[in-house]
Amino acid sequence: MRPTLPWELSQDARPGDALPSLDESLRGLLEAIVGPDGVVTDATEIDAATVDVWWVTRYEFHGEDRLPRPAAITFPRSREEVQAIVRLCSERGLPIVPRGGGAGDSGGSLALRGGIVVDTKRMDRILAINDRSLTVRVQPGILQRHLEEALEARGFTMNHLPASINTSTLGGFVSTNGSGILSSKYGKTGDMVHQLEVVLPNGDLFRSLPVNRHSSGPDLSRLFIGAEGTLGIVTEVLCKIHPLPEKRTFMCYLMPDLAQGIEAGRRVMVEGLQPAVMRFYDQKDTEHILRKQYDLEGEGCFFLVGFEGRARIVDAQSECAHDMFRETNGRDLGDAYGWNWWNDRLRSYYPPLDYVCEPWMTAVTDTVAPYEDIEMVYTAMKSAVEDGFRDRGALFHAHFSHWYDWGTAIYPTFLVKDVPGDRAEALALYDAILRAATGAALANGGALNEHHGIGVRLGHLLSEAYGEESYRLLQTIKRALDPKDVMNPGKLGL
Amino acid sequence: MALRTEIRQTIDMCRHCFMCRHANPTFLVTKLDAHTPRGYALALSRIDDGRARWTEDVARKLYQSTLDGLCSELCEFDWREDLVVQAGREEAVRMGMAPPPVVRAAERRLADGSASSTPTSLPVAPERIDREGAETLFITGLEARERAPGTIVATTALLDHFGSDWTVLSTERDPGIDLWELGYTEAAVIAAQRFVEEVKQLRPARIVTGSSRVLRALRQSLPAPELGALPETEHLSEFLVSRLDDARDTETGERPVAYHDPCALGRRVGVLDAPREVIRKVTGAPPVEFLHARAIAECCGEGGLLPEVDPDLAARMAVAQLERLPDGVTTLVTACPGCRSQLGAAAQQVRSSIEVTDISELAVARLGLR
Repeated sequence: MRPTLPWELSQDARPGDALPSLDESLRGLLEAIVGPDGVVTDATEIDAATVDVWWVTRYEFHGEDRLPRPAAITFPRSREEVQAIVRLCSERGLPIVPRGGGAGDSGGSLALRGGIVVDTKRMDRILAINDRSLTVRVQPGILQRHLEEALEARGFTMNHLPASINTSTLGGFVSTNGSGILSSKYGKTGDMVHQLEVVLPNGDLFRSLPVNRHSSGPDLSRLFIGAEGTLGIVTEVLCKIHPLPEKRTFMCYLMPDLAQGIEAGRRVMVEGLQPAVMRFYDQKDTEHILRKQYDLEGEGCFFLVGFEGRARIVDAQSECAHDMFRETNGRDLGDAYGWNWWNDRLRSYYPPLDYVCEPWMTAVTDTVAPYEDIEMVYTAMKSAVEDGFRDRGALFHAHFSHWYDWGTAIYPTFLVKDVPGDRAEALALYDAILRAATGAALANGGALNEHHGIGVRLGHLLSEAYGEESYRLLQTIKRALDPKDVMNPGKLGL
Repeated sequence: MALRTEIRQTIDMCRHCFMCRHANPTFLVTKLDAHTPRGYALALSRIDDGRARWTEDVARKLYQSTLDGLCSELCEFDWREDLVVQAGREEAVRMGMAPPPVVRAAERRLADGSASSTPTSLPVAPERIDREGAETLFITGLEARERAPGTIVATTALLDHFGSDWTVLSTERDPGIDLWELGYTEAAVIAAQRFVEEVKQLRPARIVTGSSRVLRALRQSLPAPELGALPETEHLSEFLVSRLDDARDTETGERPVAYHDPCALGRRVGVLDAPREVIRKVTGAPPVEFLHARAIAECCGEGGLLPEVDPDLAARMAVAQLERLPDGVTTLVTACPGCRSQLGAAAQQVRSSIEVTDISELAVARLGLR
C-alpha cells in the first residue's frame, strides 16, 4: 500500500499522540543483539530522527505534528547485528527503517508505519585501503566528511564531495545514488561503487561480485543503488578512490544566454574534456553572482568550469575548454569566482543563507535530461512554477551542476515565502507546485529526480515516471525480496 | 520558558541545520542526534513553543554537552549553540530538572566552593600558602587539586626554578565558571565575586595558572565582570615560553610528542602557540598535530564538567581522542590538569603505551628538576 499524498503519512496519528511504545519483550530481544545502549526510545532522539531536511517534515513537526514515529532506534555495529535485527523484525512483520544521516529531503527515513529504525552511524569503520587498485572498503555509517579526511591523510580522495558531506553517510549516498560537485568527472555514487554487501529483508546477506564491470550475469549490486533501503540495508561498500590532484584550475564565463551556455557545456562534455566541476547558472542566479562577486550588472548566464588532475593534462583540457567557451561567445571573467566558490562552497548551506531556518515553503526539484531536451525541461519547469503560481509569488531559480556526456542535470529551487496559514491549504499548495514542476520535467524528457532521492516526497510519482507496466518490474522485485513489505515500507511509491 | 531573544534566534537557526554534526564531540561518541546543536535546538524550541514539556531526558541530554564551542567555531556564521545549551541548563535548574549529579556538583561548589566532597591536601610547603604580598599567585584550579596534583608539584617546581615569588590559596574556590556552566547563573556571579575578594586579600601582582578553566574565567570575566579587575593572568605555558631556552639535547627523534589543545585554553581563550613553543623548546621539535588541532581540536570529555556529570560518557570521549592520535606518537602532552587527568585515565583504561603528561610535568622532566 503506498501513500497517495505526501502528507497522508499516518491516518491514525493525532496531534500530541504519545510515542508508540516498545514492548518490553521486544526491547529485551533487541538489547540482546545490540546491547542496552544500542536501543534508544528517548523522545529527544526520536524527534530529532523524525525531522529531516524535507519542508513537509519541518512544517508538520512545528505544526500539527502528525508525523509517524518509530517504536525504537537501534544502533548495530556489525553486519551480524543488522542481520539479527532484520530477522527479528521480519519474523514479526515489524517495519524496518534503515537510516544513515537522516538528512535527506524526501522523508526517506521516516517511519511511515512505525517499527524499528536501524541507524547505521555506529558502523563507521574504514576496513581497508587498497593503494594498488585504489579502492576503499568501508562501513556504510561513516559520515562522508570523515571518510574524505581519512583518505586525504593517506593522499587519496573518493571525490564524492556533495554539500551534504558534513551531514550524510556513505550508505545514504549509495541508497540514493547521490551526486557530488565533482560528478562530471568522477560520476555519481553508484559509479564509484565496486562492490556492495546488503542485508536482505529476510536477513540473508548478499554480496555482489568483487568488481563492477564484468559479463557474469546482471550486476545485482545495481538493484540496491538508489533503492533507498526498500530492498535491503547496505552493510559494507567497496568504493573507488583517486590520488589527490596535482593541479586544480577554474575558469568563469558570462554566456550570452541559456542556449549558448548549454551548448558550451555540451561540447566540453561530449568531446571528452572531463571537467571535474561544471556549474551553469540561469539569469536569476547570475544576477546575484555578478552583483555580489564582480560588482557587475548585466545580461547573461554565468558558467564556472573546473579541471583537476595531472598538471599537464589539466592545462591541455583547460585550453581546449577555453576555446569552446570563446567559440560560443562566452566572456572570460577569470578564475577568482571559481576559487571563491571552491573555498566557500559550503557556506550557503548554513543559516541564515540556507532556507531551513525560515518557515518558507521550498523544495529542490532536481532533474536530468539529454541535451536535446534540457532547455525545454528548464523552460517548462520555470513556467510551471512562476506562471502557474504567480498569485502565490512563487520564485524559481536554477543552475546546471551535474553534466554528463549525454545530458545535464538542473538544480532548480522553488520558493514561496507567504505560506498559507491553513495546514491543508499549505500542504496542498506544496504538492501542487511539486507536481507541476516534476510533471513539466517528466513531460519534456526529464527524470523524476537526479541525485536527492525520492523517498516519500516524490515516490508516489515513480509509477508515472516509468509507466504502470514498467513500474511493475520494481513491484515484482520488491515482492520477491520483501514479501512481508517490512523493509522501509512506503518509499519509492512501493 | 522565557528565552532571551538572541538564544531564540540561535535556536531558530540551528534546529534544522545538520552542518556541524560531523564535529560535535558528544555526537562522535554516541551518534545520537539529540546530542547535536540541532537536537538541542529542536528540543528547546518545542518547549519554548509550548508543544512539549521539560523531561528528565531533555535535561540529561543538555548536560551531556561539553560546551566546548567547537560547533560554533566551525559554523560559517558563528551561531553560538553553546550558549543555547547553557541557557537550557539555566532553565533546567530553574525548573528543578537538573540531573542529580549536576545538583551534587553545584551543591559542593555552593557549600564551600570546592569541587570535592572531601578535603584534599595541597602538595605545597606550608610556608608558601596564603602569603600576602607574594608577587605571583599560582591558582591551581579545582581539577588540579582533585585529579592531577602532580601538575601542582611540577608547576611549583618550575616557579621555584625561575625564581618566582609565589603563593597559593589554602582553599581555592570555583571562580564561578563551574557554576555558570552548570546553569546556576546567579550563584555563579556570587561565587565569582567571593573568589575575587579572596584573591585580592593576598594582593598578588600577577596570577599564573595551569588551569584552562580558570584562565578563561579570568581573561573573559566569566561569569562576572569583577574577575576582570584581578591582576594580569598568565597561563603556565605563557609564563614558561619567555623563560625557557631552546633545548640543547633533543630526545625527540624516536619519541615524537603530540599536543592536545584544551578547549578552554585554545579555542576559547586563543592560547594556541605558547604550549607548542614550550614543547619545541624543551624537546627540540614542535609537537605532532592531531588532524583536528588548534581552534578545531576535539574535546577530550573534560569540558562542561562532564567528568562529574557523566563520567562514563566523559571517559568514552577521552578514549576517542586517544584513538585520534597520529601514528607513531609515544607521548601526549596537554596544558590543563583536567585534560591531563581525563586523557591519562583513558590511556590506563585501554592499556595504552602512550605516556600522557601535562606541560608542567614535561618541562620539569626535560629540565631535570626534582
